[in-house]
Amino acid sequence: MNIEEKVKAIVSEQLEVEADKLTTETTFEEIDADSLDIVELVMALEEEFDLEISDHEIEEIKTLGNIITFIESKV
Amino acid sequence: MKTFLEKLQWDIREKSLYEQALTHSSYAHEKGDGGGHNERLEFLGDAVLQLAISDYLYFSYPEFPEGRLTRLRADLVCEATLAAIAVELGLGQFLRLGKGEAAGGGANRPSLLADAVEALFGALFLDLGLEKCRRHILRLYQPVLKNLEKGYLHRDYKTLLQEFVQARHGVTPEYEIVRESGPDHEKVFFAEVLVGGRGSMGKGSGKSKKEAEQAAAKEAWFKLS
Repeated sequence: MNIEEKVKAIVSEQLEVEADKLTTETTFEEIDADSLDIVELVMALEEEFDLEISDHEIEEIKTLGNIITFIESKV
Repeated sequence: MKTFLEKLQWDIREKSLYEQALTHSSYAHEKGDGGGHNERLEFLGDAVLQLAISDYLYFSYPEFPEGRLTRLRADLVCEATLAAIAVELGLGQFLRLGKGEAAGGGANRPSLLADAVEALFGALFLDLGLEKCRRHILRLYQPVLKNLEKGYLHRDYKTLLQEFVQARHGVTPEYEIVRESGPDHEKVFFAEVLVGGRGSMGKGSGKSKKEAEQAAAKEAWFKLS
């Protein structure tokens, strides 16, 4: 799996959305993710990719595409 | 201890801090290590918890005035909520207690459990910093905070009480509707919860039998601490 697929798989599992429905344009608002969901998601991503995401960086993340670009820049 | 930390899957660095967090003063005194207990960590953890919860409430409920936020926070960081989180974590069996305290059922006492959870937050703060500590707190609080969104705070007191009483006395609490009053469309039910041979542990009233039983369970739960 490449990064995009992995991210989609994690988002799909954590936020209980079908992976097929996720695109890089999908925003957290669209899939009804609140701040607690995002905490869960960030912790899962940190674990999966072995990196650290700061609160400040989380604020910049609006779409799935943002996460993917961000992770690609870190790994 | 090892198994507890493994179970939590926290990315911890300084293991000894968590050991200290689970050490009650009765154990430390018994071992002649007067400072090796969790009280100072609890002091710190209390403050971090308040901050994490305040921050969450501030941003999640922009329409709430200060008074309402304060009451919500008080409910969220109270002993009953913390003890419920401890039960969820199965923390009781990992507490290090002095012999007397252990024999007296200290591992099931809500106040001891709540203190240990706060101390764990203090340990997390020292070990991983505020940002990560905050996330761990929110993660542990997730079920409670999700309930809050739905408009009710605590999970089911009857279940909570049952878990406790079963662990401690090996019996199941029983409920009795002792009185009903008011006209049919505005009936009020009064319930009592009975535990083994100890008689009534709590009383409560409500608009349905279920609500009255919940209220009785809540009173009993607070009495146990």
